[in-house]
Amino acid sequence: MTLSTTTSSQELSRPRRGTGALRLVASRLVFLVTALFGVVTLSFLLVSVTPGDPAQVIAGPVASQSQIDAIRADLGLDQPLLTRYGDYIGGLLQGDLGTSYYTNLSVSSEIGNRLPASLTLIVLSVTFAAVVGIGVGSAGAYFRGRWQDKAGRFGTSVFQSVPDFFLGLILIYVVFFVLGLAPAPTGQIGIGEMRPEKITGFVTIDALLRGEMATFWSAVSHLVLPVMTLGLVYAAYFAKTSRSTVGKALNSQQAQFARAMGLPERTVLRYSFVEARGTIVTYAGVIFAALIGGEAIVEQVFAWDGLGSWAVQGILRLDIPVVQGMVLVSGAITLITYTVLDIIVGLLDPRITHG
Amino acid sequence: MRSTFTRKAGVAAGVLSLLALAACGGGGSSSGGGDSTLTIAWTSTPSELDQNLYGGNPDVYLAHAHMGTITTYDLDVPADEIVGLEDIKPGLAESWETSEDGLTYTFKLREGVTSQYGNELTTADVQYTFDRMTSSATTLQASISMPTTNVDPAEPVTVIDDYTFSLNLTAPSAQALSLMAYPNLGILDSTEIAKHTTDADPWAAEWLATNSASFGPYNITSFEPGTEVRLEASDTWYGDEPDYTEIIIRAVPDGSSRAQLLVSGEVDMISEPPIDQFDTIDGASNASLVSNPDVFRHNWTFNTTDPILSDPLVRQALNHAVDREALVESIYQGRAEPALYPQPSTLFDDQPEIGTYDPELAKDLLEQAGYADGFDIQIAFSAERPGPYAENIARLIQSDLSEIGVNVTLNGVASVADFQAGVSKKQYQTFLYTERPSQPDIGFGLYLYLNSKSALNTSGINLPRLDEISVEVLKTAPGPERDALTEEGLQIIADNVPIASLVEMPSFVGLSDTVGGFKPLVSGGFLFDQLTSE
Repeated sequence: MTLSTTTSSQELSRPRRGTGALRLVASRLVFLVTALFGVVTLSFLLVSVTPGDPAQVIAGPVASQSQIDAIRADLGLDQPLLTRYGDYIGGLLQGDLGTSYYTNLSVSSEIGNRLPASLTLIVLSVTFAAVVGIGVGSAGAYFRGRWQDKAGRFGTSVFQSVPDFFLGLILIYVVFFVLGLAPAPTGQIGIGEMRPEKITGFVTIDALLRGEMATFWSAVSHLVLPVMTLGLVYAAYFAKTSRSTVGKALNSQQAQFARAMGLPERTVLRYSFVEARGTIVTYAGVIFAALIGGEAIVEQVFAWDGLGSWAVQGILRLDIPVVQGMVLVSGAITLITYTVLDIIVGLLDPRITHG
Repeated sequence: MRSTFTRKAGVAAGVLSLLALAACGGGGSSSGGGDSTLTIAWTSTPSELDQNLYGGNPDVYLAHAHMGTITTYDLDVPADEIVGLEDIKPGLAESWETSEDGLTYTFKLREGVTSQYGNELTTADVQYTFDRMTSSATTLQASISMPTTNVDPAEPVTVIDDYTFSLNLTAPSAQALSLMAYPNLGILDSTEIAKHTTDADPWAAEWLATNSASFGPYNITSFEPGTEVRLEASDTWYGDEPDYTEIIIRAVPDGSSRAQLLVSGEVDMISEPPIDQFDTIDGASNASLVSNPDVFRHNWTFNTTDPILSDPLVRQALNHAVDREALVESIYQGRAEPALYPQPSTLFDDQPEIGTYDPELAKDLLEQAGYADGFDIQIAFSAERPGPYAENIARLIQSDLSEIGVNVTLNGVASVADFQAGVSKKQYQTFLYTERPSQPDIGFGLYLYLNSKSALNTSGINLPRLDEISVEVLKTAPGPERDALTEEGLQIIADNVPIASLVEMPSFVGLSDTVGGFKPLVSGGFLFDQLTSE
């Protein structure tokens, strides 16, 4: 009776499998647009109602009340909230995030200039963390209780408990200062080197496109320590998750059945990893989103001219357009990441698609 | 067995390849330029270049390189003295005359000086620069620099001919020539700037945010806001050709990274070496920690409008309760000097000594004030100012004050903007702060920090006689009369102690042994064109 019901259910659902995937993508995209609008509104409201008077801060301690009022009017801060919101949305639709109160520079262009540096660092760090972490975690799951597992757990505990900026400082001291194996922590390229002329904004890609191989290798080498810093810390989280999910899959009925059927151990491990990949991919997405802006201190330690360090300065100075721009960009990237994640995980696991 | 070996080899190969990749970048290599390239790591670099916007000290430091000033500093002073008001020599102006009443300085510009854009310097540029600086009442120049120098706000300068102009004062000022050397009053190339104005932006603020147009020793060749500035020696500079033909300044916020860059030879100079890295730099074979006298002080400021702290006896008591020697030895590792006087010791000799550590005297003073059983007070602080060790300073004061029965609670304020707003609104009972007058003149400091009408009077002290003196000193030429007025003012401060200065900080910079000619100015900056390549 049960078998019959299941079969009947599968038969019913089979013709709709392709449309189900499309429906998932469409529904997620609709959600994305709605959520982006929510982020825009929330970023405006959050920053607008934050205590503190930007006009007072900009004017400085020597300004009179009339001068402060003039600055407030100049910035449009004397307008009703709804009017300011309308202006903000109007500007956004034209790609205008306003100009910094302190530098007169366009926030959009500042974000455009700095985002590639942060994205390069974060994408490579998450990739590094995933490869190392999944490797260590899967080895721990497979050799559970043996020395490989113990060594992996020890490493996981160490890197999980070390703050990322502190690990960065240690790596700089040991690898750059003592051993001389890494370039100086001077940002994306050496202090005497010129950036390639901008094409994409990504220094490594632009250097390649312009055929400046010395700059390309310098940029790659300058990535090593910051990527290792973030990568090792987050690899620990990947390792912990992988150990538990792959371990669970290795002990599952499917894995035991595969072994009973005489399948090679390598195939059993592959099946177990496939079983666990949904959780691991989700974890990668969450870490990626968390690092947008969350890696600011590591950026500071390596003099990395990314979005995080710029945003921190804006926050400390109450530079509202900068803060709003940062909230918007990080919110949008987070939402897009989660949407892509939903779609990937849904496509990887049909049970979720149809759920 | 074989697979285990393969895995180990793989891991080893992975780590080695990463390090090899890193090594490709040339760890420990020298700076990218040749001998004539000076590389510098600052805590931050300017996020804009417009002299009408003040984004912090790096703005001023950089302006010394690319802005040409009417007068300039004469660095030929003894090593143990600061560059003072009298150490001024011709800059863009080749000479000047002072009227008998001291109200008019007539400057004669050098002829044939051009900017990087090929436009010749004339008095039209001077007029434009002052018009632009005073176009907003909130610029640093219009709100502080010019008023404290008694510059006539109605007509700061008068053009006489193409090369002659006068600076007009409403009262004599000892600072007039020094003011004209301050880099934020550098002269702009009005001809070039005119090409970048629009109806919506008549002062070309957008263009000047990322471009420079002046007559300084260096031209900016590339500018990445908050990240890096590159300069090259100007072909049109009126002075001697600088030793360094190229300068690269990179923002390296982390103090220990800056120190390691210097010691490893990656950079030639670092700003604000952190105290915990002093020994590392001192121990380096290729670099040194260079210390120079300064006017920089770390203070504990009292809100004199507070009910308890409005009593001068209470403030005197608290001032005598702080063990400055212990503070210097523990937190400042012996590198600072205890601040014992009402004003920086580098600005005036023979000041009354008010900062001696005497807890018994402090208890007596509290008893006289009616607080024999002590009281509760709060110390607010921000890690931005005086620095990351602010909390340690506050804790030491807390410990010292417990000895005289005063219970201190600490209030660490994370946001710099919030802290600054709290100071301006006098929300804090006491707070840690710093002072560094931009003019090397005791009159400037007296007025700026202690005159009741000054917006930088953070203690709220309001003493009519001190107000009169601080104004009079600014109008009086250096000499016995000025000294007598100053001494009277200092005694009033000693009696009232609105601020307990804790330490006097020398100017510290980490410098490669290959760089010579360094002499800091009270602005915190230095003259780039005077640096020599040893």
